[in-house]
Amino acid sequence: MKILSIDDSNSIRHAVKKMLDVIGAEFFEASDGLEGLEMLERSGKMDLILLDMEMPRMDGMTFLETVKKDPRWKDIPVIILSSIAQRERMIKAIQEGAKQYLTKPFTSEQLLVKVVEALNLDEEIP
Amino acid sequence: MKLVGSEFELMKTFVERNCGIHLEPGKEYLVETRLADLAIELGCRSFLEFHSTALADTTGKLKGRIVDAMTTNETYFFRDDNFWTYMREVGVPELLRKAASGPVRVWSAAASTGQEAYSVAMLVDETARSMGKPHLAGSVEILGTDISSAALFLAIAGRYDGLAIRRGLSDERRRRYFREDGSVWAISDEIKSRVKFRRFNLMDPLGALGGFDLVMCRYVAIYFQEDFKKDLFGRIAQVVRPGCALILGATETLRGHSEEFEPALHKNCTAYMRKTSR
Ligand SMILES: C[S@@+](CC[C@H](N)C(=O)[O-])C[C@H]1O[C@@H](n2cnc3c(N)ncnc32)[C@H](O)[C@@H]1O
Repeated sequence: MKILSIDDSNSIRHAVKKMLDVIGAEFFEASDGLEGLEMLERSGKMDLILLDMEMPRMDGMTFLETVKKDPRWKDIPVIILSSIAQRERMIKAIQEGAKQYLTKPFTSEQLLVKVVEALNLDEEIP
Repeated sequence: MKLVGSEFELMKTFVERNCGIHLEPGKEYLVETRLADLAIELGCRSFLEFHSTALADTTGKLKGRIVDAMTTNETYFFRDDNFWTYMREVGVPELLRKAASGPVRVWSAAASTGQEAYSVAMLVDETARSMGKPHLAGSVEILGTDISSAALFLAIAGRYDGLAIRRGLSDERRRRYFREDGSVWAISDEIKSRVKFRRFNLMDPLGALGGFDLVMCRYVAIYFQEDFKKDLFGRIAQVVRPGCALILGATETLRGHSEEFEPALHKNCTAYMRKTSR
């Protein structure tokens, strides 16, 4: 399971990595949208992208639009992790194809529940 | 997208009837926000559309997501000292005494990410060993259920990060019952094999679960409406074997909700014992 975290904050990426260790995911990281695109080119298809919104060089919304237009990446589920809990923005991100939206700060349970849902890991629960 | 008030009422009724979650007046705003977020994620343009999506969901998974959005999965190992003192001194020895003559069953009715159920398994193991009868631990069957399949996925994985593992667990138990894997702690296979998890909505009939020798229904009824609490505890009474205990969270009480149990105080923990005759 490959998960790409795109966030300009080192400490958030670090915290997210630790949280994802619980489900044993292989972790990839990038500090802005451009680096995120490079990472996709370099490391191939991801199972999930965790995407910050406010970033230098290329912000989350632009990254999202780009990825959703690319047939190679458009099916990768994206969870937005944003510090701004703004309804309009959330609607826009979902319309652009993001699967879920989580507002910072979040606990590891909150993130893991979203990740499990986005990846449909709970499909087989009896 | 516009979220209309009367549509919210519709959704509120759905949530109360199907998940038991009571939306207190005054907290409506918060709840409306969270439900609206979920509706948006599902691509619904209105509560009306969300409502039909929810009605059409036959898997029950969406109900779990609604509950995930509106309640917390918060839990930790050996939560509430008083309860675990009761378990160590009374509850678990009693289970093991019975286990000598056949399997006994324990139910964690809102298991969330599994800490409560695994805590029982660890304590059963410890107690059985200290009695010199470690094999008895295998006769205590522990069932954890929850409406949230995502929480259950994590429970079944039995892997906890540094923060979760420090909450409530002694170093000794951590070393004994967990294996370190990078920054994560994984529950031992032996303990894991003694706990089963499955998805179950407490709104559904309990009969299929069978009878239990101990039931923990902790920090879940706090979300439910008075009528529904009564109904739930009445149904739980049917699956707790006569003379056996029902335990609630430390801040909860059965008073006014059920006549079928007798409160028994052990130090500072109230265990509700199922009356033998009605
Ligand atoms: C706060 S946790 C309690 C965890 C644990 N019992 C403890 O005391 O630490 C509450 C759990 O109740 C679950 N829950 C809420 N409504 C439910 C329902 N109708 N049926 C089953 N579980 C439900 C939630 O998914 C959540 O995991």
